Order: sequence, then C-alpha cells, then structure tokens
Amino acid sequence: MNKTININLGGVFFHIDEEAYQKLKKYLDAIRRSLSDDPQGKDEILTDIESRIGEILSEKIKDVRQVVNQNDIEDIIAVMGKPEEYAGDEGIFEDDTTYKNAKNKKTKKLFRDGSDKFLGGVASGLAHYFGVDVIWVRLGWLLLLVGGFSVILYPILWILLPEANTTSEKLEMEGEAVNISNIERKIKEELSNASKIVKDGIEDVSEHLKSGNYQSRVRTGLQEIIDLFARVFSAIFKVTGKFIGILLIVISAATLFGILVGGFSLGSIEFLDLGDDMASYPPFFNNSRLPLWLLITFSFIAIAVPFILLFMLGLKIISSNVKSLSRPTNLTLLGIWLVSIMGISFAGIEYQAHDANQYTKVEKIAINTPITDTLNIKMLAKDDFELKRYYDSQTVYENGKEKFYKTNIGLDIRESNTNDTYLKIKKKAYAITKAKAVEYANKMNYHLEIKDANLLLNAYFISEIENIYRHQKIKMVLYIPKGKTIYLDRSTKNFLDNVQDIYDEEMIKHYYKMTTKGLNCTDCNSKKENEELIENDTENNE
Amino acid sequence: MKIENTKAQMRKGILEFCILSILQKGDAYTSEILSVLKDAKLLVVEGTIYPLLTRLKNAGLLSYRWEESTSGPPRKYYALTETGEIFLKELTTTWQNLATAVQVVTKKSN
Repeated sequence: MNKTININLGGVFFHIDEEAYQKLKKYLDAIRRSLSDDPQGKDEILTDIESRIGEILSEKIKDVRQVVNQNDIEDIIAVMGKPEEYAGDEGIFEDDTTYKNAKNKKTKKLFRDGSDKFLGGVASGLAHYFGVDVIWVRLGWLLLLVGGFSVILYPILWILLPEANTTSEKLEMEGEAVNISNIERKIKEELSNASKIVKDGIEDVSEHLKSGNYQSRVRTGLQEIIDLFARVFSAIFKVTGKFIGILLIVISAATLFGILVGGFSLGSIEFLDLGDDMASYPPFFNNSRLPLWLLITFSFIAIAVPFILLFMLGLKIISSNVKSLSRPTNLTLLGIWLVSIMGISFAGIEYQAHDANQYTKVEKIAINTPITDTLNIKMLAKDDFELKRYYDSQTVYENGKEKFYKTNIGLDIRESNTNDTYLKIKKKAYAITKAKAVEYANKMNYHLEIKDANLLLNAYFISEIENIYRHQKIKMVLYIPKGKTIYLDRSTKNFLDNVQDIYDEEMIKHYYKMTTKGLNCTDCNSKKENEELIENDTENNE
Repeated sequence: MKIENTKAQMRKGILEFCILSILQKGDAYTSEILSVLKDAKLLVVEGTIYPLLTRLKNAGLLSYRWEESTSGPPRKYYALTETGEIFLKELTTTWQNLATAVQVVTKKSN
C-alpha cells in the first residue's frame, strides 16, 4: 500500500505515489543542480521541463484516477535524458583537462579518489579539491611525516572522507577548483541572483499596490525581501565560511602538530632520562600523586580534543560530505577529555594543598669574634654542582641519591641589641599538614662555618627530592653590635635581602660599620666624609 | 580526444541551426520542435533542448507567447525574431558552404 500525493506539473494535475514522487523530485533537483551555471534561465528552463514532463505523463495516463508510479517516472527519465545531459554540450569544445572544470561548475566536495590512490586516495582527493597536482600533496604528506603529523592526520582524513564512487560524486570531486577568482565569481553570481530577486520583489510590491489589494500582497513582498536577506547572508557565509573553514583547519592542524612534536620530544627526553634540564613542567606536575607520564598524557588530551573537533568543523564547512564522527566516538572523546581535565585539576588542587601549612624553624648561632675584628662575609657555592643562571633550584646527586639543591636564601643585616654578634637562621617549609611542614623544615640541610674573622655561609641548601617546589626558603639575619665593621664579599651579591636603602647589589665589595643609623659604608667613594675612615679601616683589615 | 565529444561538437552548431530552420516554417511549441528533431534522429534525449531554447531566446533570436490549447494547459509557442532571421540566413550560407566543402574533401580522400 502506498500513499499518493497530488502534484501540479505544468498546469496539469496528477496523482503520484510517494516513491515515484521522491524519484521525480530527486530528478528535478539533479537537473537544477546541473544547470547551476546560469541562474537567470534556470527557473524558466525548469518550468519548461516540468510542462514537458506533464505533457508526456498526460499522454500516458488517460484516466485521471490512475496513479503515476515509479515505472512512469523511469520512462520519462529515459526520454528526457540524465541530469548530466541537460548541462548540454557546454564543455565539448574545451580540451579534456579544462573540460572537467567547465563541465561542472557546482560546488566542489572533498572525496577520496579511489582511482588514483597510493594508500587511501586522500592525497588525490585533496589535489582535486584544491586544483593542484597530486604530487605536491603527496610531497606535503612526506614532509609532514617528520614528527608523525601525517601518521595522525592521514588516518583521520581517511576515515572522514567518503570515496567518490558514482559519476556525480566524481564530478563533484573534480568540480571547479576552490580559488580566489572562482570564489569571487560565485559572490558575483549570488549577488546578481539576489538583486534580481530584489527587483522582482519591488516590482511585485508596486504592482500589488497599484492593484489596490495590498494587505495580503505587501506581506508576500515583505516575505520575499526577508527571503532575499536570508539568501544574501547565506551567500556571504558560503564564501567567507570557506575561508573560516580553511583557517580553522590550518590553526587546529598546526596546534595538533605542535603538541604532537612537543609530546614526542618530551617523551624522548623522559625515555632517555635527560631530566629536568631539558624539560620544565608546570610545578604541580612534579609532586603529584599521579605519575608524570599520565599528567603529560592528560595535558595532551585536554588540548588535543578541542582542536580535533575544530579541525573537523573546518572540514565540514569546506565540504559538506565529510562524515561526522559517530555518537559513541563523540561521547568517548568527551569522556576522555573530561577525565583529563579532572586529572589535571586534581594535580593542581593537590599542589595547592601542599602550601596549606607553613612552619618556620629558627636557629640562633653565636659568632664569637672580637668586636674590633672586621667580619668577612662570604657565600660559598658548592663546587661540584654549579647552579645554572636564572634557576633557583635543580636536582643533584649526593652520594648516589637524588637531592634537591636550592638557592633561595636571603641575608639581612641588623643591629644587635647586645654586644654579641649572632646569626638567626629561619628555615621555612610548606606542607599539606603542620606535622609535615615541621618535618620538611627539619630536613632542610644548611651549613655554615665561622673561621677566624670569616663568616662562611653556604649559598645553597639541600633537601629531599620530595620537597621539590614547595617554596622552602632560608632567611638569615645577621645581628651585629654598634661599632663592628663587616665586609661584604662579592659572593654575597645575589643573596642580600633589603639590607639598607642602597641597591643590595651595589653593596658588595665594601666595608660597613654599624652605627645608630644603621650600616654605614666606610669605603664608598661617593661619600666624602668617609674618606678618612677608609684609611683607618684598611689598617684594621691588615 | 573522445569520440563522443567530437560527435557532440558536430551536432551542436547544427542543432541550433535546425531549431531556427524549423521555426522559420512557422511558430511551434516545444513538443512540435522536439518531434521534428527526434524524427530526424538529431536528438537523443529531450532534455538537451530546454537549455538550448532558453539560450536562443535570451540571445534575442527567439521570442515566445502563450497560447491556449484544447487538450491541456497553455503552450509556449516560439517564434523567430528579426535578429533570428538574419542569424539563420547567415547560418544557412555557412551550412551550404560547409556541406559543399565537406563533400569535396571527403570525395577527394576516397
């Protein structure tokens, strides 16, 4: 049992069954598409064709009650010819190569070309689409093979692009190249099309106004103008959309390529165990409960998934026949993306939690040198591991054990309330619990030495590897009584911590005497009144 | 070089010439033109003629009018315009020249 539909073909009324109707509609649509190169004549041609089909049908169907079926439509198609044949003999005078372009001026679609394939025909499909020779596309794939880009992208395209099987698909694949001049022509065509509609619409409206009955008619005129705007916008979008699509593809592909290369390099570095010097991670990567490789994978997924989707969106804009990802695939992608985001968030929260409690351990060390002696202050770096510039920490090996070497040390100098010289060492540590913070502070291994009139401070401290990046620092305050002189060795340059109202770095290599107003430079040339004192001090020093 | 293309190339100019010639004998509607062409085996499928007629009409060689019919909806009757007449005259001369030329050439080569 079939539903029947009533149609009007060139002014004649027909009953047609649903399947036959679909077939006829498809046929007429196909003709419309194949005639797309002249928008003005298209409607007229189609009306003529419909009238002719109506004529043929009415010859066949004598009884009005008879229903048009599929066979009738097939017969009509046989008489009228295939949609391709309507395009006429447009391209026959062209050479074979340009013939393809002239023959089919409809929008091009991306397919895989099964007839010219090395692997899946992706390269030849792209070549058809952009109107370049396939060898360039293949060379491009080879170039992108460096870093594994092709290895990822090629299968994606292979899966997403359908193969051109039927003739019309092949024609669509080989249609007009997508380039600037063609796009420009398309815009012009669409605009002239649109202006024709405007003109018709205005004529229509004015005609209706003349005839007096405007209430209902104005509406149709308005409707047409609204339609027109919709068409103009869709035309503009069609054109700019291609650019946006290409832009999306380029950007997302470049990003995917970047993170792939990055991920590959990181993986190699980790695999070869080149360590921290080569790769620096966000701080919270290093002391998470989650393993480093998992966090790296999570970051990769978190960045990659949105860009894969953008990439596909770009492809879709460029060519409507790109397959969509199936629902399960989409859900899986969404799932792993969410898991990755949660994993990274967890590591971040975990990291923040490590700062929750703080503990400062204070040690006081007396420096028993005569008040007349000048105290020479030096910061000693450990010779075996030279710390790189701009790094305030790095991992080192001590007795075969990995340790954490840090230079976050500050030195301040203040006046002592007594006649004693002493040093206060504040070891500051953070941890998730108070007990842990205390433990970490106690584990901070700091060494200093007092040798004759020299205060030899270590320029570093060593801590357990687990404490890495937990902001431990050591702050020292040297208390000296009034009248005592100190000398700041060059090595203290980077460790002075707001000692005086002079730039800390400019304080080195000078002598200072503690006065009621704070430290007073005794050998600075800028201060004339100190010149005499310099001599005294040099004597002292000797 | 495809044989179909060459055949189509040969037919193309002649088809336009023939349509104009048919209309010279009197106005006709599409189905009449079609039946003449089909009887003469100049046309394989009907579809080809519609874009062609529209193109000729848009070029100003043909005009049309609607005429009531006894057996159905109104019919589109095509007629030759003045430009069409001139166009046809030139085509006729060209065709005659071509026909003799082709005859001479093919005879020689035989």
